[in-house]
Amino acid sequence: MDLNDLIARSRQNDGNAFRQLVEGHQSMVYSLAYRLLCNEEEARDAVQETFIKVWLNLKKFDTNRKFSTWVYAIAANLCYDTLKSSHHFSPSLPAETLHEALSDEDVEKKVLEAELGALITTLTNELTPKQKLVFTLSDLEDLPTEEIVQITGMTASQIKSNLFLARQALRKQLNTYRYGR
Amino acid sequence: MEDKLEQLIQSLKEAKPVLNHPESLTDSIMDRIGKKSEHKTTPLLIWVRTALSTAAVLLFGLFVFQQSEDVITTTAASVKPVIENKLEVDSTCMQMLGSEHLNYLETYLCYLQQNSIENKLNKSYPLQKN
Repeated sequence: MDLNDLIARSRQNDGNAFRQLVEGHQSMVYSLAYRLLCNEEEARDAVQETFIKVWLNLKKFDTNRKFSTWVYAIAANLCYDTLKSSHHFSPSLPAETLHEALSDEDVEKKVLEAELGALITTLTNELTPKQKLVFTLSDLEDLPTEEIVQITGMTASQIKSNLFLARQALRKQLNTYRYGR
Repeated sequence: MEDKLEQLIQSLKEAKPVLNHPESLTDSIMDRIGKKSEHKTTPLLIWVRTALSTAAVLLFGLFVFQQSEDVITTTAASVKPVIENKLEVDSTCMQMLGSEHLNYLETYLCYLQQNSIENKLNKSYPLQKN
């Protein structure tokens, strides 16, 4: 059964069809949520909230749009709100651990060894929620600018400037951790 | 430094977060959706709810309107003095009743006449015979 059939059947309150939609998209949503929130529990909660919103608003979904972009938009908005809230907590790595990981020539190996969420948190803690969202969607999720425009509602130039500032802040963080604080 | 940043971004991109126990997450989503669906209101229920709310508002409006009407009536009535001239046993009209001809119409007209005199209405009630 193709995606459009699943959407059409889910719109008619077919639970089995919706289950298949969830199974097909939950890893994608979790990946975005985890990279933004850097906390497994919060990311799982965000996935749940995202699909509940999808279910409740499925009748409003414009079938001319890409389904994954629409789901991404709901997830990104939820995570963005969580990032802005004062209750959000994400673990960070001790400075020494990070310094050790980034000083190594084989960064890739070290990244895999280190706790991913903590590493992203520590590196991106200087970014604003908006910069973090744009950086995650563009550089980590590898989405094209047109899709990020649809997800965030920002203009292409706003995305470009936020991405520039995010990379600049990241460069600064990298410099600090590599050459000592 | 630029290379290092690109390398780091590339590494972070490749290190995809792994979702543990995806089935349990799907199940909990479906459970919550089931509960939400139970609470979903049907169009008929929405219609009944709207009709009942409208009826309640209209009834309340009618009650308020009637209350205000009563106040107006009471106020208007209190301005107009109504002096009931009670028919005493020893009144002229009763004496008329006590006569041989028991004429209730005459007694009643007599009573009205007495009442209008008391109320200073200056109306005359000509005695109608037959």
